[in-house]
Amino acid sequence: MYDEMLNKNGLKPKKIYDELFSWLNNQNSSTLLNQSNKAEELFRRVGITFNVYGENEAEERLIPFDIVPRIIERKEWSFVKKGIEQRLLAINMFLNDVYFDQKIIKEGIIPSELINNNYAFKPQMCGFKPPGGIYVHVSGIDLIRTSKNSFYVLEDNLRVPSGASYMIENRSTMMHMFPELFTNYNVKNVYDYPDLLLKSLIKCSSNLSHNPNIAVLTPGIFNSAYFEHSFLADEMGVNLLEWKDLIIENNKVVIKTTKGKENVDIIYRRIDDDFLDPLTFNPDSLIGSPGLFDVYRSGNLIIANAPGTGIADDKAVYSYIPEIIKFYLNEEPILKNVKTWRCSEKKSLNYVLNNLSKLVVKEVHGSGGYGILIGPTSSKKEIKEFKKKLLAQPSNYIAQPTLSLSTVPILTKRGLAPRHVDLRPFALMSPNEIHVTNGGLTRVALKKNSLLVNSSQGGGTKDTWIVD
Amino acid sequence: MLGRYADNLYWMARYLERAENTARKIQAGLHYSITTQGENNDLLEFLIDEADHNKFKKKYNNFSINNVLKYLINDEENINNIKSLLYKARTNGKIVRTALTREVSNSLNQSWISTEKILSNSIKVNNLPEIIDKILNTGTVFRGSVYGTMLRNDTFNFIRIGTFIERSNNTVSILNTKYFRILLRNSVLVSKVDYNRWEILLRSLSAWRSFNWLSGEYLDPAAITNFLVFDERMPRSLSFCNKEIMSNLRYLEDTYGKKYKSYKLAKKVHGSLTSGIIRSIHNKKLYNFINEYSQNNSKLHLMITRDFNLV
Repeated sequence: MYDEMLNKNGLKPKKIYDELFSWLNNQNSSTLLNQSNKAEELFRRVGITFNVYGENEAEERLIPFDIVPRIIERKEWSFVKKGIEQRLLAINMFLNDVYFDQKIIKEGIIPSELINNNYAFKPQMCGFKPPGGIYVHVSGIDLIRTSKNSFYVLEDNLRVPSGASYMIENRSTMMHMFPELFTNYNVKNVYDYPDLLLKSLIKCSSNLSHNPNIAVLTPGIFNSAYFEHSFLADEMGVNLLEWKDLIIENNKVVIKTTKGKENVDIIYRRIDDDFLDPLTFNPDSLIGSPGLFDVYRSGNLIIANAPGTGIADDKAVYSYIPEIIKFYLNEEPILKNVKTWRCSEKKSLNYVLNNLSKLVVKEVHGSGGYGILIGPTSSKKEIKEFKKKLLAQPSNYIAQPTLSLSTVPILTKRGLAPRHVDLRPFALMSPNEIHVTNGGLTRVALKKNSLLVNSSQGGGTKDTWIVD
Repeated sequence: MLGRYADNLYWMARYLERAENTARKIQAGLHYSITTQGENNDLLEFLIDEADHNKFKKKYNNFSINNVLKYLINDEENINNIKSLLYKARTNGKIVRTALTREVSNSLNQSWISTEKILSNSIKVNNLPEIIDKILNTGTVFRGSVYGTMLRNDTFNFIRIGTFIERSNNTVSILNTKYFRILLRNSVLVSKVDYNRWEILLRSLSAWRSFNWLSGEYLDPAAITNFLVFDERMPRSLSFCNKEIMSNLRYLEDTYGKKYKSYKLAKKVHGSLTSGIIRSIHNKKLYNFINEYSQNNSKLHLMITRDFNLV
């Protein structure tokens, strides 16, 4: 197991952690715990909370925040950044291809049914080039680390990834509580994210003759990520809209303001494809704006991310990303992919069924840590039940080996203790440019030995430092 | 600004003001019931809106202090109970979080966090002062942070308009109560009981001390009425509220470069408030005046809703 702070013997810190380690050792542990409680109070007061699906609407939870920062050297980070840029470039080309010529299928790299029979594939997008040619304006690629030089991509979140606001709020909280720590380290800035998001959205709208009117579209205050939606709208200085605010008039999207009506040009939507436009995507949907997609197709609106990007972060398509990179860029992938067995294939399915206790099995379209089987920590009964589900619809599942996620210490009542972490950097894509955040959101499994870092599964977060 | 936002800002301020007004009434009633030790408990009736009396009587046997408190603070059958008003104010604030400064949204959040638990339990007279203080403090911190940290733009205007429409609604409804009308009729001699009634009335508007300060100990009904209606120095008088509403609407006319019906009406009401002091409170004029003001206030609400696309 690789601990990012301490050396193998567990006594001495790695060089980059030297100063933090001695600072931590010089602090009174009860003072630190006290500070940690204060941090929680701060989060609650600002309202940085999220709602848990299925619970009482009024129920608001904090994502637990751990005050021990995670440090990554800039050298290591530039390598990761390059890897992300490469991956996104290829993914954007892949999306363009599957919605136009489908060369990658014609050349036999990816089976047709995996794309064309996939729920996340949106035929309505075929033959339509989104403004600026950008599909994935915002992504949050989940990385794990298994040793000093091994970073794996666990998931490409290309639909509506959350967490950028926590990345920023975590930094604010750390700076507020431990300003002295920042005098010892040259920590790279993360506050510029909203501004860069705004600029990268504007860059996609070069076809417009006027300054674009931008808005964030949220499902509403009971959505688990509402804090983030309002945070980003606020920081960018744009309207935060709900679908019921959108009026379709003369092939334009219009909102009613206190002054009168206004056109909207760019929507950074935090709503799934299915709820955008019931006429186009999901006739059963009670929400959405009928006609929105027609406005989009006629070029009077930019939707970020473009509808239909989900086809590229489907967990079965994920297993093809190394081939996708080679096919479009003719390069070797910089970041590794986790070995993935596609249960739709008979041979793989047999292997998975025989090794369930060793593997992690996930739903192809799942997210948030729901519907996952973690073999090594599951009971026989749980495995047996999962087996039934798997056999009923094998193509709905993929399996991966349980990887040994790196650990970073967290502060517990008994002092520092190692816990598993992952990392979600955010990437912004605009014509000719990909920007990757300095670090991202570190998610940490708070339970000992647990590998589930999702906030909906009791995970917490840490401030993440990229330092020189 | 999005019309829906303006609506949320407006109602956030109204709900909070309403919660605060109820808290003031309770405070006045509490003071009264302690100092009179149970005499004339019928005055507790005064704390419940006349329109709600039937609903109240259906559920409770009498206007005892505990029943009245329960009804006003956390009885779910009363849609205007303090707890739900604070919740609604905060929910509206949460929706427009982006339009508020962090200080303002923190003040709403903080008050909800610090009062949610105590307001959910059954209310004991013993911890009432603490509860009331917290609620009044919420209103004060909220208005203070609005005033001290917010840009003077349309966001500010809609919050202020909400506050003062609600506040003048409250003052005018107190002037319009059965008690007030009875008091006015019998006002030549001020008995001990009447004296207490005037006191509770003034206290519920936080005007007891300022009235005494201005006019000495003499509780002249005409003077009280003039004070609550016309005195521009008194922050809960109709005149003060109207002036605030008018100036904020005026500001919106200027920034948006349009003429609005709501401003025109506010200006008309302003005219009626500056035209003269009521010398005799026995005539029908006052009654009509209060009625008309009350109707205009409702009209103003509707006009603002239409003029600015509030939902």
